[in-house]
Amino acid sequence: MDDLSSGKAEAFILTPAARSLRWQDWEDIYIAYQASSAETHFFNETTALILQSLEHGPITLAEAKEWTEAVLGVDRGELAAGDFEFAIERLQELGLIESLDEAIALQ
Amino acid sequence: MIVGDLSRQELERRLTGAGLGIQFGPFNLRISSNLPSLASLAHQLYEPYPMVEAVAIIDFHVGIGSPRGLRRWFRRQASFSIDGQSPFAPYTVEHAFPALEWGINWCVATRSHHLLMLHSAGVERNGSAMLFPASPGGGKSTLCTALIHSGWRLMSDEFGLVRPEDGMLLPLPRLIPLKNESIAVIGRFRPEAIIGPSFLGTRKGTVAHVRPPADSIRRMHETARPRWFVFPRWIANAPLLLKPMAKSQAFLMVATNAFNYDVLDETAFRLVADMVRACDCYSLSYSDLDEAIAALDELSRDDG
Amino acid sequence: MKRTESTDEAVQSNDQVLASGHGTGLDETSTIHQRRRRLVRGAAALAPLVLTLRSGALAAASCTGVKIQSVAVLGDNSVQGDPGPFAGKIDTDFEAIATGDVCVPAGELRACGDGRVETSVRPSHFQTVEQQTDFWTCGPQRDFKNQSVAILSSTSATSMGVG
Repeated sequence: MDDLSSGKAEAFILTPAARSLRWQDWEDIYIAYQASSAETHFFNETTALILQSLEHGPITLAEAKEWTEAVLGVDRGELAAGDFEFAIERLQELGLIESLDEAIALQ
Repeated sequence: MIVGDLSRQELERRLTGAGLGIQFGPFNLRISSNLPSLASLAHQLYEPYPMVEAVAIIDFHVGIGSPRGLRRWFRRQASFSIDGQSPFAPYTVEHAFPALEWGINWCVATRSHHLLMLHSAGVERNGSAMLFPASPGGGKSTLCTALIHSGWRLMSDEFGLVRPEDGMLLPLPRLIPLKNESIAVIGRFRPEAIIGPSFLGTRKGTVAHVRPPADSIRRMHETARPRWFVFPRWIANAPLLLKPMAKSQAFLMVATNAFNYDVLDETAFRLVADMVRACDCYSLSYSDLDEAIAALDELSRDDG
Repeated sequence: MKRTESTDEAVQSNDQVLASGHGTGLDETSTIHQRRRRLVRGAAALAPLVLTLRSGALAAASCTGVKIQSVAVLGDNSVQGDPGPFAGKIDTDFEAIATGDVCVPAGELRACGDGRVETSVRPSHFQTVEQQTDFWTCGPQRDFKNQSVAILSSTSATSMGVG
């Protein structure tokens, strides 16, 4: 996990699995079916926005966090770093996001 | 032809011979047994169920009977079998009938993946089905039994069988097993209800089986559209509380209550999402059956 | 966020998304900007939720957020048998709790991160919160008096198989 405050931070991207999620949302819960693993996930708006922040190409985790906070309408830094890192770790474990460097290395 | 058209002796002859072919909703079963006590009980509790025609395809060949050897005569046991295999440890012979009923449940739950199977009771009125996903201590069987004796048709006490092609619910109106205090509760609530003998000391306590009203059995091939999810919880002395439930929470609870959600993959996701989207979802806390039934009746009246 | 009217539409939409090679199947960002959260009640509401349904139950490795890790529930203020008007009051601000939240015994939860507890640990008892005049109790019977409870959101509670 890169240091969110470091000057040289790695970029992250969505995986193909994330781009093919099937979505169903109600209230503030986003339910996603992941065909690559046949799993069904339950995300809240924060998690869904973290994924969406990566939609248009590689960005650093700091940028993703800042974008998510902006869309949520909260102050920068209000989303706890520990909570954000937890989400990033889980989304990586689920195969929904990956480091751009790793993705290039695997090609 | 229904089971009741057979004499008790003819029924026993079939059970000990080629087997008794009987329809339970979308499933044809052939039941075999060498236990005379089971024949009497089957004659009583399966009386209105239609029999399977000789040329029909049988979905499950099941049996409940005494094993060979000493256990046939000493500390008698009864083994459930499916297609000639006995997947479970033997029961005492006194528990043969509940063992047969539970075994049939197992057959459906493990071998019917052409349907999405919710662990849920269901009742129907005017073509619309109300589903009660199971939860420990929720009292779904007691509530379901009370409803079907109060103007609702039984879809099933245990399985919400959803057909993937169109999302319709298929009936499986089998006997309803009541446990422990619920037996007396229903006996008081509807003295005219047909309840079989109580089996003491089973793995689930005391169990007795309620035979559904004849109308529910007669209409066992009539599908229904899911219209409500109600998550019941019986709480002693609690006031009635019927509250709308968030659909996201309903999805979670329905999906976790499906027997084969992970087997059907995206089909299950789509079906559960479609059902939850189309249904009104509620949590129900109750202590009085009459109050609960009145509240659920009102839901169906408001539906028009 | 796309509010699909039918899953068929969602499938068609995702097919288009896949063809273009972009997107998660969610709506355009502008739609999200239009739904800016106006009220965020504390870090618990902001914390990301990531739960996975697997094999008919939520994955044992999941963590879920807990709104309040430990709060006291007041006991009776018995005077000649009268429990008192605040008997069973959850001793926290009214705004900290919402309808649908669930009380569970605080000591039964297992932490798996800051402000998170494991979904694999199912509390032995639970009660949905009940709103009184200007405070909350654990259920209509005002359970858990003189105990400490944790408060879970309805979604978190459901993920643990309670509530």
